[in-house]
Amino acid sequence: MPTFPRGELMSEVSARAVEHHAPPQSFVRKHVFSLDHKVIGKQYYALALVAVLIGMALSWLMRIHLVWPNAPIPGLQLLSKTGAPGGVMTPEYYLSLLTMHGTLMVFFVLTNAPFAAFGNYFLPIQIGAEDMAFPRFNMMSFWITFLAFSILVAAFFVPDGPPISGWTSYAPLSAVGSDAGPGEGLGQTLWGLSIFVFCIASLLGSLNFIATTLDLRTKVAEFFSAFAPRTLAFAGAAAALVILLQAGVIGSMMLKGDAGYGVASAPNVKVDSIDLYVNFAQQATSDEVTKFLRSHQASIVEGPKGAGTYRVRFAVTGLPKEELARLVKDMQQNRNIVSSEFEAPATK
Amino acid sequence: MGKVFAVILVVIALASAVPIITHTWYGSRISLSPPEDISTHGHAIDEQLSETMIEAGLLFLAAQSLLAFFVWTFADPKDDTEIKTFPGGARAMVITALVLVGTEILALGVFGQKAWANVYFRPAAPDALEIQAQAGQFAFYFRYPGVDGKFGQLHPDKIDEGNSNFFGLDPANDVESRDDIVAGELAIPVQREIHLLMHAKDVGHSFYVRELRIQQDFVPGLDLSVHFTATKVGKYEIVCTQLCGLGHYNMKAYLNVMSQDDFEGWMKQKVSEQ
Repeated sequence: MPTFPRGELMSEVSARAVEHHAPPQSFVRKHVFSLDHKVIGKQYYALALVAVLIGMALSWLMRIHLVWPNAPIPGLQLLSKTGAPGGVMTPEYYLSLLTMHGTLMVFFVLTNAPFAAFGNYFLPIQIGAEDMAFPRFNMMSFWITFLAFSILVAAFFVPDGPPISGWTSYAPLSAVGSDAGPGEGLGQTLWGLSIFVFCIASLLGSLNFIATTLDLRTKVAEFFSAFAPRTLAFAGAAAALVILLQAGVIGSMMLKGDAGYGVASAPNVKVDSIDLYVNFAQQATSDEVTKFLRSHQASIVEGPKGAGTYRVRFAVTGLPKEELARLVKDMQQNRNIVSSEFEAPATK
Repeated sequence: MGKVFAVILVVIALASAVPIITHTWYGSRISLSPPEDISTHGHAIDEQLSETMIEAGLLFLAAQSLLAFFVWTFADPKDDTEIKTFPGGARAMVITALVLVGTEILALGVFGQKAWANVYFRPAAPDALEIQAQAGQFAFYFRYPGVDGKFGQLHPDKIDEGNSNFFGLDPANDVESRDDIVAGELAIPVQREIHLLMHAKDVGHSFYVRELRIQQDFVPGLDLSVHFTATKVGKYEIVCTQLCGLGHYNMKAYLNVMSQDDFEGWMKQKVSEQ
C-alpha cells in the first residue's frame, strides 16, 4: 500500500490508490447482495426510509389517540385484536406504539441514515479509496441490520404485541417479564434481540469504516478515525443488551418477587435467614432437637428466655414469606419436638 | 441549482433565529419562556439556558451563513475552473475548527458547571427539613419524620397499600416509625431548605417540578437526594417524567408551598389524624 504526502489533493490520491474488481454481472450481485459501497449505502437509505415511514405512521396513530382517545381507527384491530379491540386503541397499546416508534426512529433511521448510509456512500469517495476495506463485511452488516429490523417488526405480530417500556428500555421495567404489562414478555425479548443484532451489525459497519480510513487513507483521516465513537457506543450497548435479554428471558433478575416487583431500596432487610421464637416440646430429647436443628440448617441464637423460649435462626434460600409458611407448617408436623413457635421481630 | 441551495440555507438560518430570539428575549410576552421560577437556584439555570441559547444560536447562524456564502460563490462552476486547496492545507483547517469548537464547548461546560454543581455537588444544609419521597407505580408518597425528628426503618415486606402502609413501616416494633407522617402531597414551608431523600419502590420514575427547575430520576436500588428552597407560596404540579409502565401518564402529585404558620398547622392536623 503506497503512502501519500500530507495535504495532497483527494482526487489525486484516488487516481493512484486504485484496486479494481470486476463489475458484478447478475441481478442479485448487482442489487441485492452487492459488494459495492454505493449500492450498500443506498440499501441502508432504503431501509431507513421504510423505517421512517412506519415510524411516521405510528406517530399519526398516537396523535389520533391523543386527540380522540375513544375513536375507533379503522383497520387497527387487524394489527392487534387485544391492543385495539374494535379499532379503539387501549392506553397500553399506545405505549407499545410509542416504544416501537422511538426504537425505529432512533436505531433504524437516525443511526442508519446519517452514519451507515451516508457514511458508506461517501467515506470511500472522500478519502479517495476505491471501496470499503472489507466489501463482504459491508454487505454482511447491511443484511444483519435488515435481520434486526425484521425481528423488531415481528414484535407487532406476537400475541401480546410490542413492549411498553419505551425505546430506552430501562430495567427493571423491561427486565421482569410479562409482570410489567402487555408486551413485556415475548415482545420485549424480540425487542432486545433485535437491538442486540443491530449492535452487532453496527459494530461490523463501524470497524469497516475504521479499517477503510486507516488502510486507504490520507494522514488527516487516519488521525480522526481513532475517534470513531460509534464503535465504542455500540460495543457497550451490545453488552448491556445481553444482560437485559438474559434477565428477561432466563428470569434471573434478583428483584422479582411474588408480589410483582420486590424492593431493592431497603438495606435493612435480611432475606437469608428467618428468626422464630420456638418452645421445644418437653418430651423431646436433646438428640431429637439437635437433629431437627441440623436438618433445618438452624441454630439457637438466644435463650432460653422466660417460659423456655429460644430464638432460633433458620437459613433460607427463597422468599421470606413463603419460607416462613413452609417452616411453620413443618413444625406443626413435628409437635413431638416443637410445641409452639411464633415469628420473632427482625433484629437490626 | 447550487444557488437555490444557498438561498434555502439562509432561509433555514432565519427561520431558526425566530425561536432563539423569542425564547431568550420575548418569551414571557408570548408564553414561550419557561414558567415562573420559584426556587433560589433556578435563576442561575435560567441564565445558563439563555447564555447557551445565545452563544449556540449566534454560532449556528454564523456557520449557516458562511456555508451559504461558499455554496453561492462556488455553485455551478465552469468546466475550466481550477480547484484550489484550502490555504495552509487541510490539517490547519481541521485543527483550527477543533480548537474553536473545543473552546466553545469547554467554555459552556465550565460556566454551566456553576449552575448545575450548585444544586448537585453542594450538600444540603444541616438544618434542612428532611422529607422522604417514594415513587412507585403510579403514585408519589412523602414521609415526614414526625415529632421525634427520626425516620422509622423501612420493611419492604410490610408494604401494604390496602392498609395505607405505603412505605412498609412497622409501628408495632419500631418506635421511631410511630410518629412518622405519610402524605400524598409534598407540603413544605416557604423559604426553608428542603432535603428530599428519594427512593423508588419498583421501577425508574422521575421527580419533576417545572417551577423549581428540578428534574431528578428515581433509580430503584439507589438512594438519591435533591435539595431546594421554594420562594413562593402556591400549589405546583409534580409529574413523573420517566416512562414507568401502564399508568405513567397519570402519575402525579402536588407540591404545596405554604407559609411557616400554615405548614405548622398542616403538620398538626396530620399528627391529629394519626
